[in-house]
Amino acid sequence: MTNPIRFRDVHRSFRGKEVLRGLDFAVKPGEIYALLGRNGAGKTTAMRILLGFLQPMGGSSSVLGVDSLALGPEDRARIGLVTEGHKLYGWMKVREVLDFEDGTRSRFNRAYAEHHLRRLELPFDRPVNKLSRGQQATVALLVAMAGEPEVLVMDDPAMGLDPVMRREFLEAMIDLLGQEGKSVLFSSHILTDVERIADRVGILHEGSLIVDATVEDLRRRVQRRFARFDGPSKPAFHDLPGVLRVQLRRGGFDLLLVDVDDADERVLRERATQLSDPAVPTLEDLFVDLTSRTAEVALVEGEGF
Amino acid sequence: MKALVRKELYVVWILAIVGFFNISGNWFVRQLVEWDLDDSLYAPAPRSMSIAIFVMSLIAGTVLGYVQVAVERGNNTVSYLVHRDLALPRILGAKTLVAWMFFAVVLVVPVLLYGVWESTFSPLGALVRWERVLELLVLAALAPSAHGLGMLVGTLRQSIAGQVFILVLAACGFAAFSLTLLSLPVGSPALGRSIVVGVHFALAWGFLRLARANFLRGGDPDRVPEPKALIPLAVLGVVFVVLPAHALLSMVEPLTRRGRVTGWPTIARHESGRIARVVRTEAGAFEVDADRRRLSSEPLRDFHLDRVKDTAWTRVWSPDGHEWTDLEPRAHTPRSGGGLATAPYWISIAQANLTDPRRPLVEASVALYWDVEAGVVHAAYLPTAVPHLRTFEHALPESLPVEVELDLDAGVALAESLEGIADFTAWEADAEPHYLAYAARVGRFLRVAESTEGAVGLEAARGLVEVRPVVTGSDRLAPAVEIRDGRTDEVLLVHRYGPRGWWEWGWTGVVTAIAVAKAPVVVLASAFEGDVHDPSFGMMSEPMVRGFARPELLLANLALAAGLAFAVTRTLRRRGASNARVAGWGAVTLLLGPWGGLLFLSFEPLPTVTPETAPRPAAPRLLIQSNGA
Repeated sequence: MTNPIRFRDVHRSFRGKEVLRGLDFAVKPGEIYALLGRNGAGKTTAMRILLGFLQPMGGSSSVLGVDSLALGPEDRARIGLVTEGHKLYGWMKVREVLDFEDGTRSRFNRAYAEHHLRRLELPFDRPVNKLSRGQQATVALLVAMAGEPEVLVMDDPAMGLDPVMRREFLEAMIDLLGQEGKSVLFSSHILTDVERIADRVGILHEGSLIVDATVEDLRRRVQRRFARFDGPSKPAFHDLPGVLRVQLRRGGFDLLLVDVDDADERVLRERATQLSDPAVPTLEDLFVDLTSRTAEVALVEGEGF
Repeated sequence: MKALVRKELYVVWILAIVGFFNISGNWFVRQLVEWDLDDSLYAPAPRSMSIAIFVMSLIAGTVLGYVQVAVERGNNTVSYLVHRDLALPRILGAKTLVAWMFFAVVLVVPVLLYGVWESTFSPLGALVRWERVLELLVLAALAPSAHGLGMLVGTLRQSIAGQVFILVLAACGFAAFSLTLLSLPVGSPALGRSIVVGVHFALAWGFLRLARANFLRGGDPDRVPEPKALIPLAVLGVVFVVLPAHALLSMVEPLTRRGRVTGWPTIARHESGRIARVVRTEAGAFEVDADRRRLSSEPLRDFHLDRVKDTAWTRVWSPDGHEWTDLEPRAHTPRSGGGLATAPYWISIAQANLTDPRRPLVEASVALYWDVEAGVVHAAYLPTAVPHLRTFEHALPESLPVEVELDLDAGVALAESLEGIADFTAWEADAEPHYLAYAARVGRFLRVAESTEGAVGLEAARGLVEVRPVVTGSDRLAPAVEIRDGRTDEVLLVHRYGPRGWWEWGWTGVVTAIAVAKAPVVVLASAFEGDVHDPSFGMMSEPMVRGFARPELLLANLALAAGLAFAVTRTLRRRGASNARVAGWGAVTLLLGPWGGLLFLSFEPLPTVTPETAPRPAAPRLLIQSNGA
C-alpha cells in the first residue's frame, strides 16, 4: 500500500541558508506522525512543500501518491489542513465558517461538524476571533476533519495555546482522531502532547531528520545514564558504544545511549569508574538532548541505527 | 463560488455603500446648492466629474485589488483559502467579481443616476447629452485593469512598505499610460471609446493572469515573482509622479520664483500712466522697490490694476479704489480629435452691472461647446452672478450659434454671436508664463484675463491693451520682465526676479538639491529646450536648467546618475546577473537617476539565487530510525 505522505530527499534553502537537508521519511496508512523540531528547524517549510505551497530545490514530496507540486483541487479535497496558528477568518461567526466551508468543499460533512461543535459546546453565533485560542484551534481542526480527508496535515496546531487550552485541544484531537484511522502528519514543539497521540516521531534538527522512530521504539531503545571517568576530562566518547550524546555534569557526564546490548554494557562498565542504572528518558528529555546547543554537549558522529 | 463571493463581500459592501453615497451624494448636493457648469452633463464633458471618475477608478481599483491580496497574506490565510477543492482561478475570480460589483456600484450607477436625475429634474434637462454619460462610463473602465494591477502588486514578495512603494509607482505609471490612451487621436469618438475599453479589459485580464501565477509563488522569497512586468509601469510612474511633483514644488517654492509668488510685485498703473510696484495691505496699496521695501508710508491712490493671487490676475480695481470684480479666467482647449474630447472653453468676462453702481462689473461666463461629432460650436452665455439652480431657472442660458475664430498659437478665440456683442479671449490654462493680466474694453464688456505675449500682441494690434509685459533673457525661472505701454511700446518698468534674502537663498539651495535628483533624460531635454510651448512637456522638464541656464546643476545631475548606474551594474555583475539584465537596469538608472536606483532596490531586493538543481547531500550527525515493527 502506498504511503499517503512521502518526502524524498527534500532540500530547501532560503536566501542561501539551507533549511531542509535531505528530508526523507514517510507516513504510513493510518499512522499519526509527529514532526518535532525547535523553532526554525524547518517544520513549516516541510509542510508547505508537502502541500505544494513552496517548491523544493531538490528532491520531491507526495501526498496520496500525487506529487505535491501537481496537487489539484480534487486532490486537495482529500487532504485536511490545519494551518499554522489555526487560521480562519476571524470576522466570521462559527456558523458562517461552516457556511463558507460547506460552499467551498464538496466533501464537507456539515452534520459531522455541527454534531461535534455541539458536543464540545462551541458557540455557533460567536465570531471566531471572539473565541478562545483553544476554541479556535478546535474549530479549525473540526473544519478540517469535516472535509472527510484521507490525510490530515496540521502545522503546529497547538501553537500559541496556553497549557490549559492545549490540554483541551489535545483532548479534542484525541477524541476526533481516535476513531478515524486517518493518516496524520502534524508538527509540534510541545513534546508532552506528542507522546499521547503520536504513533511515530520524527525530530528535525538543523534541516535533517535525526530521529524517525515509533514512540515505543524510542522508549525501548534509548536510555540515559550518568557516568564518571578517570583520566582526561573528556574521554574519547566516539569509542564508547551506543552513545548518542554526552552532556557534562558536575563530577561526570550524562550519557544518552541507544541500543545498548550486553557487550556494550560491559565496555561501558570497564571504562567508567561509576555508571548509574539505565533510565528511560521522556520524549521531551530526548528532544532536548538531541536538539539543544549547550556548550558542554559533545555530539557524536556515528552511523545510523 | 457563492460562498466565496459572500466572503469577499463582507468588507467590500460597506465600502461600496460609502463610496456610492459619497460620489453620487457629492454631485447631487453640489448641484443643488452650487450649480457649476463643470459638474453638469450638458454639452461639454463634465471635467470635474471626469477627473473624479478617473481618479476614483485608479485609486479604488489599485487599492482594492492590492488589499484583497495583501489582507490574505497579512492574516496568513492564503493556505487556508487556497487549500480546498476549488481551482485558484475561481478563488481569485470571486475576488475579481466582487471588485467589479464594487466598481459598478461606486462608479457606474452614480453616473447613470445622475444623468437620469439631471434630465428629469433639472430645468436644463433637455440639454443633457448621454454621450457625456457614456464618456464617464468609459473612464470607469480603468477600474478593472487598475484592480488587476493592484492584485499583481499584492502578490509580490516584498515588505508592505516595498509593496506600497511599487504600487504607487505602478499606479502613477498606469495613470500616465491611461491618460495617453485617452488622448490618442483616432478616427471617431466611438472607435476611441472602444479602444479605451478594450485595452483596459485586456490589461485587466493580463494583470489577473500574472497575479494568479504569482499568488502562491509570492510566498517563496527565492522565486522572485514577475516584477519585470511592472518595471515599465514603474518607470512611467517615476516620470509621472516624481517629476511633476518636483515641478509643482518648483511652482510653490520660493526659489527664484519667490519673486513670482509672494515677491512678485503688484504692478499698478496710475492714471498718469506711470507703472509702479506696489504691495497691498489692509491700510492700502504702497509702492515698493525691487526688494519689496516700502518707498512711501502713504498709500497709493488712483491705480487701475491690482494682482492679488499667486497665479492669476484676478481682481480689477476701479480708479476710485472700489473693487470691480473678482475674476478667474478659465479656459480649456477644445480637442478636435480623439474619442473623448469635448472639453469646452469656459471664459470669464466682466459684464456691466446696472443694478449696483458700487460694483459696475459683475462676472459672467460664456461656455463654448465644441460639438465634435457635429463639427459645430455653440455658445451659452451664463450669468454666473446667479449660479444657483433656483435662480438659474429664471435666467436660462442662451444657446447662441457663434462663429469662432481660433488662434491656438496665440491662445485666442474670437467668437462673435449673432448679437455681435461677444468678443472672447481664452487662454491655455496650463500654458506658461502667465505674467500679467490686462484689461480692455470691448463694447460693453471689460475683458480681464491673463496674457501671453502672443495674445497681448494680438490685442495690442487691435489697440486694446493698456500695458504689455515682455520677458527678456533666457532664464525662465528668474526672468527679467519689461512692462510696456500697450499702445506706444514704451518701457514703463523693468523688474528682475530672483531670490532675495537668506530665506529665499536657502530655499534655492534646497530646491536645487532636489532638482539634482531629477532624471538626466529630462534634464537633458530641458537643457536643449529654450522655450516651452507644449504644457505637458513643460511639466516634465526642469526649469532650473532649461536652456543651459545652470550648467553646473546639469553636470552634477548627470554625474550622480552615472555613479548610480555604475553602482547598480557592479552589484548585478557581482550577483552574476545576465548581460541583458545588467544593461537594462544600467540604462534605467542612468536615465532616471536616483529614481532609477530606487526602482532597482524595489524590484531587485534579493540576490539572484538560482535554485540548486543538484541538491547537496544531507549530513545527519546522528540518526535513530525504526521501521515501527
